[in-house]
Amino acid sequence: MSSESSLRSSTRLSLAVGVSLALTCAVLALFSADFWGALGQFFIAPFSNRYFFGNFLADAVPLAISGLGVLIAFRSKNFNLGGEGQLYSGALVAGILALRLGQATDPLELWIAASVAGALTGALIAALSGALKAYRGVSELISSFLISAIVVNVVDFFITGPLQDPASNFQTTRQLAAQFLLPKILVPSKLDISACVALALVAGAAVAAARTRIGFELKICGENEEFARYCGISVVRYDVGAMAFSGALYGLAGALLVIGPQARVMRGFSSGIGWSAISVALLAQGSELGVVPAALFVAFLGAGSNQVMIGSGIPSEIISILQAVALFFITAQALPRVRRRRKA
Amino acid sequence: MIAVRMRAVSKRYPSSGVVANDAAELEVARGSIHAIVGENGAGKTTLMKLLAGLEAPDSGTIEIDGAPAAIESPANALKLGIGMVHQHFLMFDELSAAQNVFFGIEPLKGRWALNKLGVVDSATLEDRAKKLARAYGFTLDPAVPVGKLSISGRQQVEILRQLARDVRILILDEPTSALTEQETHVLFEKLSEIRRAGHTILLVTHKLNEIMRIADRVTVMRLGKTIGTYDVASITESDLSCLIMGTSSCEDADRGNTLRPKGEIVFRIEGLATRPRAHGGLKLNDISFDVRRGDILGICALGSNGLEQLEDALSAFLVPARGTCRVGTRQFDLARIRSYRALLLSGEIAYLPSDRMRRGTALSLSVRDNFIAPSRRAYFRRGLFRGSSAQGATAQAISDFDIVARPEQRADELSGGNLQKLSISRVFSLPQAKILILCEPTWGLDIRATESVRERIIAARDAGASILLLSSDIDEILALSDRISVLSRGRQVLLKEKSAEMNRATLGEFLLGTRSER
Repeated sequence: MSSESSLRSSTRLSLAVGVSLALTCAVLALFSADFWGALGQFFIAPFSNRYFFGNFLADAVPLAISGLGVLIAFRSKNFNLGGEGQLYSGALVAGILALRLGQATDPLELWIAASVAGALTGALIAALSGALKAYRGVSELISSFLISAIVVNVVDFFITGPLQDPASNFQTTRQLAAQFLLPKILVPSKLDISACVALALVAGAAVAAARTRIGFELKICGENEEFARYCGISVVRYDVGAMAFSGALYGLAGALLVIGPQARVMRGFSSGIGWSAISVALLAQGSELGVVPAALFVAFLGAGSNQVMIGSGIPSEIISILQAVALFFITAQALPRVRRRRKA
Repeated sequence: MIAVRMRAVSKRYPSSGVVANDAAELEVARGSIHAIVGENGAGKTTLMKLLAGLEAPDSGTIEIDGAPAAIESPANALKLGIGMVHQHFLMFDELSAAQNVFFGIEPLKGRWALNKLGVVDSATLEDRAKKLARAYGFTLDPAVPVGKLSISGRQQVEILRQLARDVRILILDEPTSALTEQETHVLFEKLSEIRRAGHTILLVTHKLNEIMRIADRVTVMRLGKTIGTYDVASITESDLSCLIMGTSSCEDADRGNTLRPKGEIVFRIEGLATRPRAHGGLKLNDISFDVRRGDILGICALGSNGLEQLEDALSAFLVPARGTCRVGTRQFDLARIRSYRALLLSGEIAYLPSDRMRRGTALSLSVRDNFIAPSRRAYFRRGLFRGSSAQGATAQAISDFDIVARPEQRADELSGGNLQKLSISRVFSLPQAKILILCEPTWGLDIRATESVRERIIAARDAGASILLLSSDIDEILALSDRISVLSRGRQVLLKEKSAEMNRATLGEFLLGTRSER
């Protein structure tokens, strides 16, 4: 990317962010009785105290982890649209394992086991789409989306069926004991050490992409498949591998939620994170390090809207529209860069 | 009467900082054939793109037929009667020649309201195409799908397409690069015909002998500037060559082709055949050859006669129906692609792909990344990238091969010739490769670069390499090969030592399939 066009695309992106924020203000002006109050709730409340700020950061963690996976898959021109199912099933498997292991292990082992199990689950599901693409020419875009739609229902079945907590009125599994949850950072908020995991993953991925052979080969596969074959790179391996990696991060994000803030697997708890992660990846503009601010921004939109919803009585539907519009603007600006074909 | 006058025209590509045209001047008389020559990157094609409205000049003025013109788009150029035939044709393979010629300006059925429906009047369409072809002496069946036509046939369609749009100033970019001697001859007859009709032709070319044959005047360009315009009748080919290179000594190196004792057979292909599915039903039929130590085997074919498939089979991009490959004492079944692919990856065979854009380059990556990609293992120590050694190797190749590029520059900012040089530098930087498969190595290169690549090929042969040269350029095959093989419609019609009786004309007969010696 030459400096000129990258400047242009950052300008476009800032414009999109600006427009979406302006639109937010407009909606607030239209629907809230107290515009300035609502504005303050949207923009300032997430930073106003430890509790809100920590929760806002905690919301960014799964977005950053799964957004990173989407970004890596993008780099090899694989579009993983199955994040919803991969994250949800990763959470379920991690939850089952954590509940089963229960008192028998010490917390650290449980965390590792649950994370690995969640990541493997997501990886397996996504790898299926990668393999279908590599060997059967099935678009990974469609297969990952459809497989995810099935998986979500299967997970729902387990939560509401065999794993339903008989003592609860909610559709959820039993709860994990408090000593098996990840240590909190900003008490009393829900932020825990998974934030460090996210940062480590982002940093590791950035180094791997810039400095390792796998990163180099992945980049070549994404830029030109025929050239990759000419260089003796197994394109099949990277198709499957990139999808599996992105699925693994989705699954991991799900697992970390279960052994962290959620403490159980509740029906539909992760709904929407899979899609938001795609926005994060698009916002990050192909840069691993860009995932962190992108995840923070998307989480901020969510946190701000929630504050407004609680504080100023704007209906939740309006809030959802607000978020959707903001993400639409950003995606519309960022997407051309990912899929653009250069003019001859 | 001056048809085209370009004054102090400059064009700079800001992304790469390349000045493609630097106050270039051009004057073309109406009804003449005007050649434009120069090395790769001399700015010939850019100057023509400015004229055809494909690029906008930074400064300078253009006059068409004496009137100042702002040519902002190809449509705009077309209104002024300017049309360009590109090196690579853009056409609809499934549509007929007539449909391609009149695409977008088809005669419609009916009048008034019915006319608005846009129903194409096929009968009139073919009739017009026939008339147009006849008017300029083209022999073209308007009903045949252009996908089935040879390169020269497709080129005729492309030229007719311009003429159908009342183009009076016709620009041809390297029109003969993929034509045989016979086809070139035919093309030149047509061009003379078009000139006779009062049209002006601008001919961008590398080939000096063609200028001497057909052009009235010639403009020489070097480094974006116009060096001068000369009457072809009053200049010699060698003078022209000196002007292009900007040197006083520009004798063509005489390579000779001394018959030396050949070494043992290093690389042998036997009974190679492909399935008929790909490439428009064409299949390779029982191809066999061997390459010895210190030997260049040139395999020549026109477009769509099997050279592409042979390249794909030899580079494991295509799994043939059968065929064996012997390297030294080891034997590989080409139909079982895995073991052969492993051989290719082992580094014993260096392969230069003909399609440098798709197969030879990742255009959005840097020059450095492109250079190190095939031999990347050497640039990662314990899994980590050694940036400085990659940078150094790339810089070395850039200076060795006179590539106009910086290692960190994006590959798509390079001109076609420089991209090709990059691919070539990569192949020649593989030290352990004893077998070289070179496909169209000098395609699109200028005289100087072609000369230097050919010298390298000869040097590699003399150092004991076994070289398989796949090329559709007869001159190149004749200049380099020790032995020559010809494919025509997928069959091997010739394989023998090069001899004095072989020239463009005799090889042309084999290429067109009118002669066979096997």
